[in-house]
Amino acid sequence: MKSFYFKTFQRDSKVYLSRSSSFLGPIVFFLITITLYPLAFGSDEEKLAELSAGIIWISILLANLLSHQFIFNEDYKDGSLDLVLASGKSLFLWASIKIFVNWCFSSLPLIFLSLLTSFMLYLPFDAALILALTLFLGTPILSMFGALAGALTLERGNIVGSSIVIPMCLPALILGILAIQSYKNEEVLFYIFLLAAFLFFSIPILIASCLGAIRLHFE
Amino acid sequence: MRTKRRNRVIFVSSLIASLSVAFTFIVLAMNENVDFYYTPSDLTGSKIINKDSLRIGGLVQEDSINISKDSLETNFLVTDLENSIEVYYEGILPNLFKENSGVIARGFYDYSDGIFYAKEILAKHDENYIPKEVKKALVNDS
Amino acid sequence: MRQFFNQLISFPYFFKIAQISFPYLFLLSISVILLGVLWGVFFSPVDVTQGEVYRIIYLHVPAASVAQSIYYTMVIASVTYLIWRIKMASVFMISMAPLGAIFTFLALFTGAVWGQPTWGTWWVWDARLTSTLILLILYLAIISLFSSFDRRASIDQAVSIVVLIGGINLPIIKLSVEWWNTLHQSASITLSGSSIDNEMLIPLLISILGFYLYVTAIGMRRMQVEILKREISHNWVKRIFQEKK
Repeated sequence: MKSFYFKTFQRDSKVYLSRSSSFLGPIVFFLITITLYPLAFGSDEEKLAELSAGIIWISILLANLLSHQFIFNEDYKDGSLDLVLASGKSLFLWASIKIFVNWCFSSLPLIFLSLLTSFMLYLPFDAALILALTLFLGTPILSMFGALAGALTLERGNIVGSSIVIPMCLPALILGILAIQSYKNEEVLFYIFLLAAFLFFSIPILIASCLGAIRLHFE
Repeated sequence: MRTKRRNRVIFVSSLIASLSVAFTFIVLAMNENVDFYYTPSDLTGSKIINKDSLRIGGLVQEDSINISKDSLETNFLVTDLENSIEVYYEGILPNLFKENSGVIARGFYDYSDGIFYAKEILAKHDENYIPKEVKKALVNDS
Repeated sequence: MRQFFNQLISFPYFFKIAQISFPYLFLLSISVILLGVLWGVFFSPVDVTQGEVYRIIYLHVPAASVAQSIYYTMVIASVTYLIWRIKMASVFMISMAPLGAIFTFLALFTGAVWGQPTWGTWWVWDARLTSTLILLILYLAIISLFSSFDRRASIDQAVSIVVLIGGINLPIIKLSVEWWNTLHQSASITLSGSSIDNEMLIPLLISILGFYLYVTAIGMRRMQVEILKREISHNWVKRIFQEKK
């Protein structure tokens, strides 16, 4: 019984490692959006330092949502989703594993990259550490929302899914940015705790609604 | 049937686990003392608050507004009816800024000269909707 | 009680009731709105600080109140649909969402017109305005879902999932927007109607009541249309149209 979940984990990891598009896609997207900001706002150091936390957060938000849009698509197209639905295995666990694998391969690299790009955008080092922490707590939320958007629009991947999901991600973005901005003060813990609370609050609700969204394609 | 029950157990236990973790974090967050803005008493008190940017709120003290004639410099006192602090601001004041009405200033507090250097002044919007005649009557009574 | 409820959620019965009650409800709502707004605009006293401008409150507050209430009732409907699969609940959500969007827009628009003379700007990124804007985006996103599936049941299911998650999330969004706002700027600019003088409050309450009646009437009409779309091939619909002839 365990082997089913473990195999899902193994298989998805292999697919990620073997395909440059799914591994590099979010990274390229992230880097190019980061580059767009200085090109649009100018290279003024003070201005960029003020904006940098927001720039990185927004870029990661978009990259993350996009990379999770197609998480269930392949299983849907080749019919394995039907089999999983009919197998009687815990769909909750199955979806959690899939989202976790996707997060490991598309969000974790972005978090490390964000530390590098924070220097390019003149973010102070202490703030960059807080940034990494907030991303560590925030990206799983974005991943689950992205997966939900993907599950809602399995049949035709369109813009509707992500536009529904972005407003719902706002608390994560706001709490993350507030934590970074107050990195010198004691309030920083307040926002980080709240972000963590939002993450754990979202896990069961979002994964369950992902499954609800997947089922609507099979009714 | 057995698998169905097992799946439900998996779901419900993870639901309870993560919701209780979330709740713990909320309790932790509530234990953090967060001040969104300070009163003049907070700043004149013994505890030193060292921040680049903070906000103070209070009432504009009567007869304390000093507007320079040839520049945009303004001095006034913000009070919480116990203590008051001198605020220095250079810029255009909002329309609703007047004596005895609420104000919020963002800036930094210099402990050496006891002046709050504001970068931004916000007039507190009056939440009371009162007809003119009633207001007049109230003023006449008092 | 149970029987009454069952009848209410049956399409033909609801259609009949709505058909009979719509004209009365509609006329009543229009006259109540006119009463409230005209009273407010012409007969209620002038505000001390804001002068005549505050009178837009008689449109703004009812619109904002209706816009929010519609979302909350939609959340209740989505739960009803997800648990009991009552089709009337999805008809309700799909008919009300565009109304919600319109009233949210109206609230934002009147707010902007009000803000121009009082705050000196059409728009401020204040907590309430921002979360109202997000509410509008949420409504529009839900409406954009209506045409993204081929099967009726899929749309109903997708809409209820999104409405429900939005409903859980909306208070959190509001809270976080408020925190964001208190740290960034004008937390001070809030407009709460809690301390309004009686002479101004009564026409306001009448106006709010009128808006709710209006939404009920128009919502019923929209639900009728939605029911006709879904049940067009059913016998009871055909019978109604034959009777008309």
